[in-house]
Amino acid sequence: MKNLIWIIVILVIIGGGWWFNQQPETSPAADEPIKIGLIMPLSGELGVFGTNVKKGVEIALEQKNVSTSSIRLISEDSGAFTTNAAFTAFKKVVDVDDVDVIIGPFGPAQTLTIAPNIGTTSPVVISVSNCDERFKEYPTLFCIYPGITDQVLGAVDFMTARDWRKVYLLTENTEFGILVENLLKQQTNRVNLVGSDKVVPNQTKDFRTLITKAVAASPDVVYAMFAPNEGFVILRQFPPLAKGIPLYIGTDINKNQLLDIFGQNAPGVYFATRIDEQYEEDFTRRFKEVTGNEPDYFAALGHSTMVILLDGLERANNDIQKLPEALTNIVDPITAVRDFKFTDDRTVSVPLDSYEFKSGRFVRLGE
Amino acid sequence: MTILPQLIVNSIIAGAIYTLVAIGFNLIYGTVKFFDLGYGALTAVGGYAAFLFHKKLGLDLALSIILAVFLTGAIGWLVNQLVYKKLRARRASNMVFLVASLGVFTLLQALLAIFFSSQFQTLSTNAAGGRVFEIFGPTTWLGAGAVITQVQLIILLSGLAIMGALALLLKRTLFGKAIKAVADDEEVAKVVGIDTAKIIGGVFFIGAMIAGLAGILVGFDTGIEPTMGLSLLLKGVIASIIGGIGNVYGGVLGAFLLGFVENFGIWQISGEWKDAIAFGLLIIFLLFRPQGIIRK
Amino acid sequence: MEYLIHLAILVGIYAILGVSLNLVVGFTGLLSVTQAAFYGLGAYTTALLLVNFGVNFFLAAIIGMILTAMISFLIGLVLSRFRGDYYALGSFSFNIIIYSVFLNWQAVTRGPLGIPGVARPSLFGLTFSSNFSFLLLTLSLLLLTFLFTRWLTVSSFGRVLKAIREDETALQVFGYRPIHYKLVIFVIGAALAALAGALFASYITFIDPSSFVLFESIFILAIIILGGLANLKGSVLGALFLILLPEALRFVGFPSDVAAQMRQVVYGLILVFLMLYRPQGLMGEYKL
Repeated sequence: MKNLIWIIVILVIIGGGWWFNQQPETSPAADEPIKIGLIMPLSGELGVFGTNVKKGVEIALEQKNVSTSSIRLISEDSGAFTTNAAFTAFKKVVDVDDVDVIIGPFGPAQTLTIAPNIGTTSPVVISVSNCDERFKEYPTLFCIYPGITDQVLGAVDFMTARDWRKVYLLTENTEFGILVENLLKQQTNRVNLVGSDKVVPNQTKDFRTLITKAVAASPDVVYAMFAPNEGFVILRQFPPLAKGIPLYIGTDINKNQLLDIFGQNAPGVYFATRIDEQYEEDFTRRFKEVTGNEPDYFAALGHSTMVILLDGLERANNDIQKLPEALTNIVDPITAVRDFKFTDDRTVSVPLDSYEFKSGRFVRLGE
Repeated sequence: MTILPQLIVNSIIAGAIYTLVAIGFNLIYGTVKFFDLGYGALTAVGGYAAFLFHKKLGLDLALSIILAVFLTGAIGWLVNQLVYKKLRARRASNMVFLVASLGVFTLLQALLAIFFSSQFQTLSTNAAGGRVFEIFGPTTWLGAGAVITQVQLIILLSGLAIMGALALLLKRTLFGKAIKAVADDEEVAKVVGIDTAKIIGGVFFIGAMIAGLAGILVGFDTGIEPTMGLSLLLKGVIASIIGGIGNVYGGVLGAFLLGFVENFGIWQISGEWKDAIAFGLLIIFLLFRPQGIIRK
Repeated sequence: MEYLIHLAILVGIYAILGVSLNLVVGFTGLLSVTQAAFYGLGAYTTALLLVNFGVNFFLAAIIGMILTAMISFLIGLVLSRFRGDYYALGSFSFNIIIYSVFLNWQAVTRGPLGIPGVARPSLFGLTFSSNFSFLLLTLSLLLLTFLFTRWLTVSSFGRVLKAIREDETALQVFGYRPIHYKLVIFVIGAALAALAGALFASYITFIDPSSFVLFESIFILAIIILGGLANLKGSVLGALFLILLPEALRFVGFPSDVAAQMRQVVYGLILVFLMLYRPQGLMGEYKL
């Protein structure tokens, strides 16, 4: 029995290796489809966001009537938090599928893991991640999540305009949260960080004592920056404990979730987030048809990225070498997210607004 | 100092949630003597069942909860029939049970994610509109109020009610005594004529029902996601051990102790170390009082 | 080919991890669920030494192994007071605590920011920068590990370990002190896991705490149970299987919406069926 198993295993390995090698490894000719690898978390805690990005991408392809003979989308799961799975997915799409462009992976850790393995010309990688300083050394690496610096500075603007000088920060113990905290600490001439606390993602979601601590420090505002699931919990657990202190939160959340949590009105809560009540109409309608839900920011991001990518490919005449330059020169695309485009240093610039939730809608606030 | 009343209330709420998980887990472990990791997934199953009945099918709230609880109990019973019973017949070792239950856990969680997506959902609608009670109001000498919401009170009361009901069941009814007999020594119980298979099936059913209820209540208080089970389970395990494994009151006591230590730890240290504190507490107990606070 | 080489390297690293854990769980019967912590300690030590001090990889790996050995000695001492299920519980408490340290002790580990830029190994002026050469390095170290553990387990030391697994009390009657043996094997297992960690850090060149969570320890346990406890070749086989299976499933053509979840479903089913119908694993000699 034992020997039989060994023989089977060795045969399978040899057979598998032979089969792989038989796969054609040609570089794309003019009539070959452009292959786009989508590496996003499709399972686990973050699975729904990766899936939404994928749906946004697919809707964009559909809207632009792109046929599978000109563009082929290959999706792989990057897993939620570990870097191994993302790395393996990357290897697979690059080596086996020979993709020209990658959308993903998700977050700075996964991106930094694959970055040293991106060639200097191909593939072009559009990472769904906050832009990180370290991305700049890779000339074909783009990032589509607004930079943390932009977000924090925008938040500080908002807070100082309301004369909220004493700030207590609640955030997560991730790269994202640490950078937010460091940035806030640097703003000493504008706001005073009276305290901060962090949660570890993926644990029992009980933030009550953190909130109690924050409120007890008597700040002018509690500033919260969280990934979507934790953000949901904070919004849920904060109001009874607020004691009149406003909450200014940056997270991604959609209208249905807010209706569930707050009903029609969310008093004392301000959203520093890229919610657009009105994502581009056709996109919103199609997304609702396909999924039955309102689109969230990730779906809109997926859509916008694909639209820009298609535009860029056209400009560059499907020449991947010229794609990075073409991507930074896009003008006025119709993307799900308002005014989405790449800047010269391959980061994205998106207007950041603040909102309240009143009468079942997001109401944009003046500065 | 004014933070103290709320801190106490927070600890009690956390303790109440852990109590529900600990009671069911304790019951099962006390009877069959292995760590059922699959139990964690059952909390998520309960939550999603209620979600399905109430939000997707639009059934009345009370009916949804009852249906969900029974469905979860049935699934727990089924898992025992299909998997654990066979392993027991073979006298498999604890490691086998552990790994098998891990497989069950992974399987159930993945199925939930397929059918319901991994998005965070809340069971309530207009949750913030729920009633909030103020206790230790501003007129007391501690000088500051503490708040507790209606759902949280329900969790607390349910935990205590189930504890009482279970204790009664175990002490006063024939069924309960049979459970105790099986827990003490399965072989002897068989010799005496007890249908151990049926009793164990019943234990899994009841335990799963409690898990389901735990998941539902957490769903109302905060929300549900397919991966919620593991961390809840681990806390339930810690609570059971430090309180006294195999003992209903022990699980409850351990749960509240854990709640207090965690929350006061967050207050004094910081939020990041919460898990380390909880498991550090476990190690201290394992070292110095492994039988837990209440001996069997 | 690159993809296959990548998978082969992963298999090699996890095979070393499997062998290291098998010594403790399979041969000695100690249900330890904390191997990922030692894996992480090796990875972080190596990464820090390579990035901050430019130490040679092989030296850094050895220092990592020694450091991990010392820490595991203390943990092993504490764990030696427990039996059975409680041993498992205690061990994974340590896993969670050590993970918290990786995550929160940011002054040293940079927490979630991770440590980027870990260099590839170099020896006598030759650097293992190509993935193929790294694969050869991994396989050589795997072979060394395998031979070492094989030697260990067929020696009289190994026989004592098996005796501990079977009947510890009887052993004590004969004048042996099981606790010494248990500690020694626990430390050896930890040091080997640290070696795997060093390899991992240098291969992937960026490490962060997320690779060393409790789930990794459980994964390594599943590898050795699948392969067959107390069977070293089985651990290699188990690693092969559990790493390659999800990859093979990629090509099965599940609808991509649920592909990832379906893999989890399959994984769970495999564990359950294995326990039901072949608990001794693929190579099994030790019937669980």
